[in-house]
Formats: sequence, C-alpha cells, structure tokens
Amino acid sequence: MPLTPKERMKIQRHHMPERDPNQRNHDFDEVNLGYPQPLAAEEAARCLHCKDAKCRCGCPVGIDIPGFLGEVEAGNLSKAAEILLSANALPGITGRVCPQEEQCEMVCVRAKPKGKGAPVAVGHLERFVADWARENYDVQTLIPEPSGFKVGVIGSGPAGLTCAGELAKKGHKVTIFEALHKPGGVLVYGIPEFRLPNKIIDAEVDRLRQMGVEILCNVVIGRTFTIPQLMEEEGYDALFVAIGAGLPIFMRIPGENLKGVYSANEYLTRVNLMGAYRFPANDTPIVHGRRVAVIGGGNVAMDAVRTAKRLGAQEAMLIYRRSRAEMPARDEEIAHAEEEGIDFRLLCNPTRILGSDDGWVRGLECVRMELGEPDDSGRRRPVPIEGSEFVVDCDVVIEALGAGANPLLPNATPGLKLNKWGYIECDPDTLMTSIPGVFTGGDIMRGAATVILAMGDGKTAAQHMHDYLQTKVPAGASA
Amino acid sequence: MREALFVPPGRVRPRCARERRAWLGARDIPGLGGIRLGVIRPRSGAAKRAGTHRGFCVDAETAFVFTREGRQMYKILDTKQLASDVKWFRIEAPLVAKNRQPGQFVIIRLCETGERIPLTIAHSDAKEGYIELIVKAIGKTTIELCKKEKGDTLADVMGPLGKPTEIEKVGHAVLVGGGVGTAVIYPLARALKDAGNYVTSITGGRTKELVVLEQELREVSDQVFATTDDGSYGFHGTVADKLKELMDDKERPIGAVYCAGPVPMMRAIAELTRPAGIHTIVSLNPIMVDGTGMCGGCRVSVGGETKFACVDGPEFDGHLVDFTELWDRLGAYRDQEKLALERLQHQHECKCGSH
Ligand SMILES: Cc1cc2nc3c(=O)[nH]c(=O)nc-3n(C[C@H](O)[C@H](O)[C@H](O)COP(=O)(O)OP(=O)(O)OC[C@H]3O[C@@H](n4cnc5c(N)ncnc54)[C@H](O)[C@@H]3O)c2cc1C
Ligand code: FES
Repeated sequence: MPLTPKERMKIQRHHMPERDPNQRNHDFDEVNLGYPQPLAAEEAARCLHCKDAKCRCGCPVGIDIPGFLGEVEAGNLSKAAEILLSANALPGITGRVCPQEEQCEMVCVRAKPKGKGAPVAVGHLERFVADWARENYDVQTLIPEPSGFKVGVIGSGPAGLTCAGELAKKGHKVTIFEALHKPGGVLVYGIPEFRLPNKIIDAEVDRLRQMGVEILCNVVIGRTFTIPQLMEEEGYDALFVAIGAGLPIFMRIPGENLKGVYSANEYLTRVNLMGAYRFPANDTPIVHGRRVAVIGGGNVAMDAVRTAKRLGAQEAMLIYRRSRAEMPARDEEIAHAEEEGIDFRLLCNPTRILGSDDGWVRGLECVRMELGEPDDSGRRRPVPIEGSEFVVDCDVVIEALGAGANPLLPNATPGLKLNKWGYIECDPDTLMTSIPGVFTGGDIMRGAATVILAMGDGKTAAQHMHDYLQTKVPAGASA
Repeated sequence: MREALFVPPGRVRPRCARERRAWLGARDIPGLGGIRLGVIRPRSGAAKRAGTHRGFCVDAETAFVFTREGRQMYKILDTKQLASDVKWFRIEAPLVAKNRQPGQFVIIRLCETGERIPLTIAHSDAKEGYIELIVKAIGKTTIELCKKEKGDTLADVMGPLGKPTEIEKVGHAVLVGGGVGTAVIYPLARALKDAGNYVTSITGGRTKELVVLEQELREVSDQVFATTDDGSYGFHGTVADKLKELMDDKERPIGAVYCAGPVPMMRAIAELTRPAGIHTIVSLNPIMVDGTGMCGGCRVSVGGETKFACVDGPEFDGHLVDFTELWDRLGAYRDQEKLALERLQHQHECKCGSH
C-alpha cells in the first residue's frame, strides 16, 4: 500500500548522522556518516511526487529526483542508481558538495512555508544512493565502436572528468591532460578529506580509465604542449578546456608577504594534495598556527578554517566583512564550522597584516563594518566605521577571497578570446570558443562557480563536441 | 592508456611476446624484483616508494612504465657525481624535453609521500626525449634524490615551467653562477653564445670543491673564470670581485649580466651593477608548490609589485627585486626542514648500524 500524501507529510526530515564535533575537529575523517538504509527509505518517503516536480528544474543537470526517491523508498537501489547515474556521472561528489539549499531543496514544496517546512533531503539521499552504487552496482559501460576521433580534455576537475566520460561513451579516444600529479582538480587539491574523501574521486577516475580514457598527469597545457600543437601536431580533432579558476586573489593590503600568510589555495593544497598534516611522514611542511585568522565567508574560507582547527589551532577564526546572512558558503558548512568551535568575527574587514621583527605574522588589523544599502549583488554593502580599528592577535593569516582566471594557458593560445576578467569566452549554446574545435566550460568560463555547474558544462560541451565531430574526418585518418 | 599492459603484483611471466618486449624496457624499475622479470614484491620498500606495489602498466609501444593509477614513472638514464654533494642526472621525460627552452625548470616529486621541488633544466634533448638536472644535496628531498642511481625512477617530473630567458644579442654577456646556481646559467651560456654573443662565465664557490661545471661551461663560453672565496682554486675572491674586474675593463664593455645563486650573492651582484646601469637579470628560487600560478606561495616583490616566480619568472630585473623579503621567505620552513633532515639521518644510521 503506497503511503497517502497525508502520511508522507507527517514524516519529519531526518538529520544526517554526524561525528561528534569535538572528536572530528581533530582529524581529517569525513564528518557526515551517511544515512543507514531504513532512514534513507523513510526520508525518501517524504517526497510527495508532485506532478510538476519543481526540484527537477532546480537541478542544473535535471536529475529525475522524484523517480530515484521513489526507488529508494521501494528499496530498489539498483534502479535508483541507474536513474541517478544516467543524469549525473559523479553523484557521490555532488551529493556531498552541491549547495542543495539553493537548488533542488530550495524549490521543494515541503520547504514551504518558508522557515517552517523542511525540504526532502535530496542531497543526503543522492549521497546514499551513490555510496551504495560504488560498492554494489556495476555500471554497464558498453565499450562502443571506436569513432576514430581523438579528443583532448584539458584539466581533470569536475568539468573535465564529466566531459571525458561522456565523450568516451560515444566512442571517441579521450586523453585528459592534468597539470598536477593527481587528477581531480579542486576536488583533490581544494576540498578537504573531511568533506569529500579522496577515495570517491579515485573511484571515479578509475572508472574513466576502465572506459579507455587516458590520463596524462604532469602536463601543463601552455607549457608542455600548446593548444595549436595539440591540434596541428598531435592530431587532436577537438579539445575541451576546463582548467578551473586557478589564480588566488590577494587583498593587496600591507604585510601580505610576511611568513605565515597563505592564500587558501596554497594552504589547502599543502594539506589536501600534499598531505602536510602528516608531516614529517609526508615531506611537505606547513606552518601550524596557534591562532589562525581566515579571511572570507565562502566555502573555501570554511574549508580553510576548519582545516586549521584540525591542524591543532587553539583558536581558528573566520574574519568576514558582512554578516552571517550574507555568507556565500553552504549552510551545512557554516553550521558544521560553528559546531566545531570556529570563532566567527563578523562585520570586520582586515586593513593590514602586522609582522614581528623576524618577518612572521603577529596580528591582523581590522576595521569594524556596518551594513548599508544593498549593492549590485543584492547583498547589503558593508561600510567601515571610522576609527574602529582593532588588532586580532594571530600567527597565521589565510586569505580566502575567491579565485580569478589563471592566465597561463590563455597567454599561450593565440586567437583565444577572453572577457574583461580574463575568463574564456564561448558560444553560450555550444560552448565553442573563438577557436574552431576548442570548447570550454567550468570555472574558467563562468568564474569561480560550483561543481555541479562545471559538470553540467562538461556534459553540454561533450554533446556539442560530438556534433561538431560528425562534420569532420578524423585528423589521424589519412595518416 | 594506449595499449597499456597491466601487470598485477606477483605476476611472473609476460603473456605474449609484445608484453615481454615491453617488460624488457621496464625492468630497471625498482620494486620489480630484479632478475625475475616483472615480478613485483608488493611489500618491498622499494616497490612502495616507487609506487609499483599495486602493480604497474607498461606501454607496449614506448615501454614507458606507469603505476597502477596510470601515472608515468620517470626513469633515470644516467648520473654523474660532479662534486661530493652535487650530482648530474639524465632523466627520461620526453614530453618535458619537447618544448623546453633555456631558463625553464621542472617540478619533481620523488615518491608518493614526497614534496614538490623546482629544479632548473640544465640541458635537454627533444629527439632523445631526456632532460638533465644538476642537484646539490642540501635538504631532505635533494639528499634522497642524490642517492638515486641509473635505473631508479622519480614519481613525477612536471614541466617545462617558467618563462624562457629572453635570448638577445647584447654584445658581451657575463654569466655569474654561485654554487649550483651555475646549473642555471649553464643553459643560458649555450643559448647566448648561439645567439652570437661574446660569453664570459664566472663560476664561484667558497672552496675548490664547490666550484662546479667549469669544464662544461668552457665548451659554451668564450672565457670562463672560476673563483673561490678561500683562494684554493682559480681567482681568489668572490664572483662579485671578479665581475668588478670585468666591469673595469673598458675594452669589452658588458651588455648584460645574468646571475643565479644564493640570495646574498645575487643581491651583491645587483648592487654592483646598479650604479653602472648594467642590465642585470637574476634567476630566483623561492619555495614553490604547484608551479602553475595557482597557489601564490612563490610570490616575490619586484619593483613594488607582487609577482609569482613560477609563471612571471623565474628571471627578473635584479635591480627591482626585494632580496631581503625573498631571503626571509625562504626561511619559512627552516624548523621543519631541520626536523626532516634529522629524521633522515636517524633512519640512515639505523640502516647502516647493522654493518
Ligand atoms: C576549497 C574549495 C571549496 C569548494 N567547495 C565547493 C562546494 O562545497 N560546492 C560546490 O559546488 N563548489 C565548491 N567549490 C567550487 C568548485 O570546486 C569549482 O567550481 C569546480 O571544481 C570547478 O570545476 P572545473 O572543472 O571548472 O575546474 P577545477 O576543479 O579547478 O579543475 C581544473 C583542473 O585543471 C588543471 N589545470 C589548470 N591549468 C591547466 C593547464 N594549463 N594544463 C593542464 N591542466 C591544467 C588544474 O590543475 C585542475 O586540476 C569549491 C572550491 C574550492 C577551491
Ligand atoms: S608555485 Fe604556486 S603559484 Fe607559483
């Protein structure tokens, strides 16, 4: 007997089981434990299966959300996995890092009335199905007839991985070029282990390899090869540029070159990619601050400050110039950070980093802010209160102010059109750049955005690259 | 991976002739178990360090070895001890060699737990597919690297990185190298000479032992001076003293100075040429992580602006560089470096204590 809507309405949202904050803030193991099956089935039963399911439109890759929730409720996990994987190749990743509260869960009818309702935990259930599938579900990857085309994917972040998978399914010979020594992009060098364990990304990458995708690490396009070389000398028929927004933004305040000042990129790379938290077993060192100040209010800032806490900071502080309501980070991350004892210093803007005689950070001078009129982004603009300067004592400062476009590849690619911020311009429908056969997507096209949008671009681009290739003869065909 | 043949740990025999040929090319890889071709002893330390303990792959066409994860391994083709703590390496890295130009560097990683360190490419051959590095054993990673021999592998070699040197016709080019900084000026000497310049190279060290590459420099320079601080060899004095002598020589005015070495030395050279207005290019060596401009760890102040040495450099106008800041930032991990070294020595003693 299926449940009646009334019965469904009665079920309360299930909280994600988590590790104890005071235990987890000392190690790098994952915070969320995941739903056990009965809980997942019950949570899925909260879905009312609306005729005009808003959540599907809220999802950037259009997952059939009511469809897979129904299967979870009925206990058909392989059917649920099939539905999920047909729209989203990396559900284990997006189930963990997507800002669901701004997407599917925001438009869920159960989220109404605002403030009182609680949406179906689509993200947690996505994660549940993905984790089950990783252990128990063999993806039937039919190796298709080779098409004879050779395509290159530059960058192995979510955009690149998704695009490579889609192209391989169509029979093209795909090579991924990655600058670093490990594939995964921000997923491995940026987002910490306690939020997204590396083994999940490794499993995805392994799957791509099984599909015949070749991954060449340590290859920097723009240096090791250039795009014209790939197209003309190496015989690639099409390329997808998904190099992310890998350029740290600094505040340009005095004292930034003192020892103990990091960009969030450097801090997180040292810890996540290089394993500096295991020093001296791992060779890469990091400065362990006793009082660490992280500047910013986004996901990157949350990751950095929670990492600092785990590295043993007695006080891990977040310095943000607006108030909590304006923080761009995911709600879940903000809540987790608070539980773990992160000290939020809101409405403060750093003006200067103070140093000791031997060149180490000793403090951060800030000015207090108040919120004024809304600005272009609709958020209230913070304005400094004159004469309210004060000093926060700290020995490490981490700047997490977002990322810009890394100019390395564009500078080495004549004819590649950029917009005024240095991001790559493309046709909004086909994602083809100003160079025929070269497509783009992810952060290098949008500016720092999200994993799911990057994946959506990867999928769109793969479709249009395929269409583009149908009009061509493989470059290697005559050879 | 194209035509890659996966060899799981413990496999003894190649399955076919093609696989056998590929294995033959790969047999020098540590952890494969020596004589019995292709056997991996998964638990051996060598296999773990090399990353082959979970099996490995061999490309049938090129015999390149990949770890199970599909990472290419970089084979050391040859080595030569240049001084007691300076070693020359020839490493198989065909993709790096292909586009490499003088002034560029690579970032290497020894093993799975290793750190990423930048090293200047001293020479490369695109046709043969190798690069050459000159390494001085000073920190944990460089000491471990210098223990490696022909047939060993590096986990990662990424590059070529950095802007190539602008090779121009300047007339008389003077190259100044201190210690292993000489490895940086050596490829420049060759390129500047090929561009039709009169090339003078100065290579210096505290004492005779530390003067490296003098012979090699002779082949690519018009004149070479070796200097030692203690007078044990060549010119008695610092490289700056020698440069001063050359600056006083009105017969052959200096067009440009290229300099690489310890920070105090580069600062001294820049201060010397500043009043004379001689264009001075220095090659900087800050701490790096990624080498692609992603982290900003390598930032240096040049003319009051922050630059990332890995992408904007490594060469900058020596008269604009803030050497004090560079020197200071280089010391950020001094305590950790000391700890790592002590641990290394300790391990070393343990191993050797048995004989
Ligand atoms: C710390 C942090 C936390 C985040 N948290 C979230 C979150 O919770 N939820 C969310 O949705 N989003 C989050 N984001 C944003 C999200 O990670 C990005 O939007 C997404 O990864 C972009 O994907 P991408 O494929 O475009 O690029 P990236 O993931 O940046 O990957 C680009 C890859 O290309 C490589 N590359 C760069 N240049 C070259 C070159 N010249 N040649 C070869 N390879 C090159 C890089 O090394 C990198 O591996 C976070 C970002 C950071 C930094
Ligand atoms: S080493 Fe990271 S930006 Fe230069």
